[in-house]
Amino acid sequence: MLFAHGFGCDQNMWRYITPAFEKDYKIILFDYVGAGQSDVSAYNPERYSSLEGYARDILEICQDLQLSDAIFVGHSVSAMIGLLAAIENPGYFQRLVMIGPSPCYINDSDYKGGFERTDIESLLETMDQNYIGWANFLAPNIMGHKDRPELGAELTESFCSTDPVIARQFAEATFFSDNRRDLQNLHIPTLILQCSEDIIAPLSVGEYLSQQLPQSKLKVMKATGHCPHMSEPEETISFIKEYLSGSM
Amino acid sequence: MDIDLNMVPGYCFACQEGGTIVHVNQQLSNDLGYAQTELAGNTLDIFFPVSTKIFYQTHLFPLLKMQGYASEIFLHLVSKEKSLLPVLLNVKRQQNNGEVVYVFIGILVQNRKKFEDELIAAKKSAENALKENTLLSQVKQELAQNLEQLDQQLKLVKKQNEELRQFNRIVTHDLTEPLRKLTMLSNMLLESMSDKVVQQKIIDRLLFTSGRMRSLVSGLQQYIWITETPVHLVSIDLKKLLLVLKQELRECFHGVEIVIELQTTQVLEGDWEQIRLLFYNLLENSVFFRKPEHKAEIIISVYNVRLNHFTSLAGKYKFVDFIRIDVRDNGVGFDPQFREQAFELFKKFHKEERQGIGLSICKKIVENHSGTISVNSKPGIGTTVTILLPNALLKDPAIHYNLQKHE
Amino acid sequence: MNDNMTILYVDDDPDDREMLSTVIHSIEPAINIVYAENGVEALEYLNTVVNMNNRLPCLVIMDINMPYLDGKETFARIKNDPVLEHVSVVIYTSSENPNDKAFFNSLGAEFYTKPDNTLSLSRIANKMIGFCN
Repeated sequence: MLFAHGFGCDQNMWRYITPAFEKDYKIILFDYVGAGQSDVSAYNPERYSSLEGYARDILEICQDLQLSDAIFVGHSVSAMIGLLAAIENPGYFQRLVMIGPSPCYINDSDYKGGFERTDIESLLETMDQNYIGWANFLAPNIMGHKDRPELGAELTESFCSTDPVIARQFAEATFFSDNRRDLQNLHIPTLILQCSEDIIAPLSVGEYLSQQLPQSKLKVMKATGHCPHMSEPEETISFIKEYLSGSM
Repeated sequence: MDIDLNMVPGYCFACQEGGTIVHVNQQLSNDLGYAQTELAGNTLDIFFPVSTKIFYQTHLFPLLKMQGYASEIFLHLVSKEKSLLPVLLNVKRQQNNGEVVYVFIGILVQNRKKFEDELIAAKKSAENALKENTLLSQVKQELAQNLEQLDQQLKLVKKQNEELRQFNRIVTHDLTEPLRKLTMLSNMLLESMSDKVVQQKIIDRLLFTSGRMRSLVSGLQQYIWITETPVHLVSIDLKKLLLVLKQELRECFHGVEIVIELQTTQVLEGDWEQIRLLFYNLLENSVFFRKPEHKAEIIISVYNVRLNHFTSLAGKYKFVDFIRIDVRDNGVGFDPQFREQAFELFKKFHKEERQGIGLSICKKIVENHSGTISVNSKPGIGTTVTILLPNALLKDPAIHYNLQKHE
Repeated sequence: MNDNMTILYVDDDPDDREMLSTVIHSIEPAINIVYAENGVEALEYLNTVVNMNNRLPCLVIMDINMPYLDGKETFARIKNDPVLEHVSVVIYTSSENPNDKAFFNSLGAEFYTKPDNTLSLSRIANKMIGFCN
């Protein structure tokens, strides 16, 4: 089972979930470049300005570990990242589990992603304000922290060891992405875990996904908010187990 | 002297695990324009604008769950009158009578925000000035163009070297071999003038060998024709094309049941003659190498993907649209560790007396369209050929300068 | 090991296989010739022989240009295998490339270019049979 974290933290966000599966599966956890213990110097802004760059991270892990028939569990943006990886190389995965996924966050003429463009821009402004202490003033983006090693230690205090500049780019790449036309190209059975009252991935989006994704199953959870694997781990585990056992 | 929270010149509020508000101090409720009692029982959403809601759900909540605290978090709150309050907060998770509660403390940073806005604006404007520096951006543009060209040239050189190697092999081996055999057979013929049966056998081999040379040379000619002919791009109706090819294959393979399924909503753009030849060769291969006593089932799927435009330069990324074509059959397959050899001119894998040129012509055609081709296989299960064609063929000819177009 | 009268002839060309084996048998009918069409089959055969504790062939005749695994690579694998390295291997190829000849000679292997007349063919066959006496 390969677990891909979403925003706001690193692989530790799965710590309430993985113990339930340790007995039956080999558990693979990783941090994307820029999060957790990853090597920040490996960050390439061109590559990670779109979700395809993150999908490459997953494909590279799968190739290195020679995975096949793995179960991919992705939270939030990682659901789409996993989708892109699975379309490119279906041989790595037998099942996808998407927690709180959305293929497009911005409303369209006949699609309700949940947000207007201005909402996303305010979000990015908020994130800018949170990174003001770290930003390299009057210098082009992303000088990296090689020049200021003391910053590395302080990061753990503030943002759960996520590099703040990279986190902001990640948010930008995510919230302006549109993967709706990729959905029909996925041919791997998928579980969609939909939270009640999740503003990031609302019910209408979950329903849209289940219609567009061939071979998908939509389950609406009692959990509210956007992180059921952290706020309601029991319910999350039980849905995943039910799905994997084939009895869903 | 006891100070209570309602006297504090700042904000203090607390909520439960699910976000339900359990306390709001007076300063905050005043500034928000609610009575303290109005807020209790609601969730934090009541005074979060959309941007804060997103930020909370995606970043702050996971942070608090993992760490139990966060400091110097900036966000906006929204009042009953819909005005925005910029605040700077510290949060900590506490136990209160056995229940988990998150306590927030913070200050309104209206003036500080103005200052920070200026800082951010200054930073952005400096960054923009740097970006917009005309000389610099000219150089950047040239560099970008050169990088594109470099990548293309590296690709071209690699390809040409590879082709040269293959042609060398053909000249030094595949053509000289049959010539040697012809000489040998002729010598043997001279030595067996008395034995008519042996003579006949030798003459048969002579004709066979020279026939092989003939078809080898004509295969080469076809290959060279593909190399030299400019590509003339049109929209191709795959459904129609496949119907035509299926008919041709039926005539070629009498009595064999052939099933071809097309899965696509994509329009393909390419040179009609070459794309036709490409699919014909692939389908013919699939039918030829079907499992005995089985029907040949081929599934062709065509869809859009986004891949890195740069293939030869490490660390350069630009994700552009590609059209991906998968031709999957249920034939006998082959050992995938040799998949690179499949596209070499005249490399044969199977014991059949089949000229090994089909796939190398396919590769040439795909390369003429600035694409790439690869193959994978599982013995006993089948083979899949994957073709990637850049979608920007008609849109940006400068990128694909080795593609010659008719006007 | 050399008193086993089996030759392993590795070549993907049916004409060459027929011509050489006919000449070998016309000189020494008692020799048993086993064929492999490429390096993969050749190594499979040799490993089977080893696993069944049978005697290895007195000679391996190896073509260079073959699909899958070519002669150079197969030769290297045989010589690097502690069980197989003592097997006699000669190269029998249409290549007239002097670099190829020098390469195999320096590794201690005889190098024969496929001929275009029957006299030369007989001479080469005789030399090959010599490895099995």
